[in-house]
Amino acid sequence: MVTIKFDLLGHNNEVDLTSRMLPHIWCSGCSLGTNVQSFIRGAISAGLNLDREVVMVSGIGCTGRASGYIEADGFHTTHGRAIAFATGVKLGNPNLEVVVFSGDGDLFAIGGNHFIHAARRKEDLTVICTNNSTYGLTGGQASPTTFENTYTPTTIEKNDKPFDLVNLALGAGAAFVARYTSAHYKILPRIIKEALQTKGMAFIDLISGCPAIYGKKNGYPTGEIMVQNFLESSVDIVPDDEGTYLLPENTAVHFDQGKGYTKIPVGIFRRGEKK
Amino acid sequence: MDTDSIPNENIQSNERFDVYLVGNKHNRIFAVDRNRCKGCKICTSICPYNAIFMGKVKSHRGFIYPIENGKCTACKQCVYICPDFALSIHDAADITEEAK
Repeated sequence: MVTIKFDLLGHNNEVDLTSRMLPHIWCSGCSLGTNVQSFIRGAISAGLNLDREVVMVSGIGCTGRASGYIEADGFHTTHGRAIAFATGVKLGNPNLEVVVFSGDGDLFAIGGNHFIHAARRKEDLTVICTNNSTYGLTGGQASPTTFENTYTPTTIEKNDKPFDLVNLALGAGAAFVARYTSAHYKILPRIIKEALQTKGMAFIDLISGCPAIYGKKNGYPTGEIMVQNFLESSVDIVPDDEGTYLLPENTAVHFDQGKGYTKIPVGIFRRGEKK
Repeated sequence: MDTDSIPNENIQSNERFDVYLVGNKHNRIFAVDRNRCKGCKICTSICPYNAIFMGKVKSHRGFIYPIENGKCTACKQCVYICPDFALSIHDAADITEEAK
């Protein structure tokens, strides 16, 4: 018989989590916790000390809370200005590793201009976008990445065509562009490590789910179904010399109401120079 | 605790954690933090050995939580995907002491 010392128990990455703020506010089944954990593992594998060398900047939305749950210096900025704030931090102290961890509504609706210009100016940031296709915090309104023919409380019959974030980042000139889903927790730390070590702006389109609000009406009502949906619909891209994998029809994400995601092209679309 | 449905005898609990001794030599620890778990069932769907299932009893926060059934090999898949930071795998040597 052995005696357990319960005082020593905790999560495997407990030192990098703000224990006093947990349990977190995110809903049951939300992918954000997985994304935060994958990021922590990626930053550790890149040899970074989160407490000393990393600054987390996040905008408004559910994802904005991530900067508080990670035991790194961070700032929860005003709506859409996460990249603008991060640019200032990087200029103030270039030795810091500045990470923008925010949602699709924050980075691409009100913050769209900051994103494309930061990519154009090759600011040395790592931008991780938790793309759940909705404004989850405020009740599921249509965001710039909400798919056509899906139900939201603020649109009638049909939404407009969504942004293809990978193509947007490629066109704007980001140095490193990748897309994965939150269910790719095995490979994500490696991708995040590569993004952190890239010179210039690194962008990861991290497809995530909002089962509690968007998924319930559109085909993935629980976290369990969402993870299976991500794994089944992910298609690895095949890079070739002619660059056909970069054409808009090959990078777009497809979604059907009632079925969830039907095709998610995943992989690294552009690799940049290392630091 | 839903003790009827647990075939595993290597379980110890306090007000926050359920701790299971797992692995071939029982040298690993699988811990469930009932304070953090929100009962999303992602761990049960991802487990390659079907070693976790959801209990019927609710925690003090009103969520069901996972129970280990003795097949766990401490592969850490559920730890990596758990969105609530509720699961963890440790070396038994770090956490336990032999009773005298």
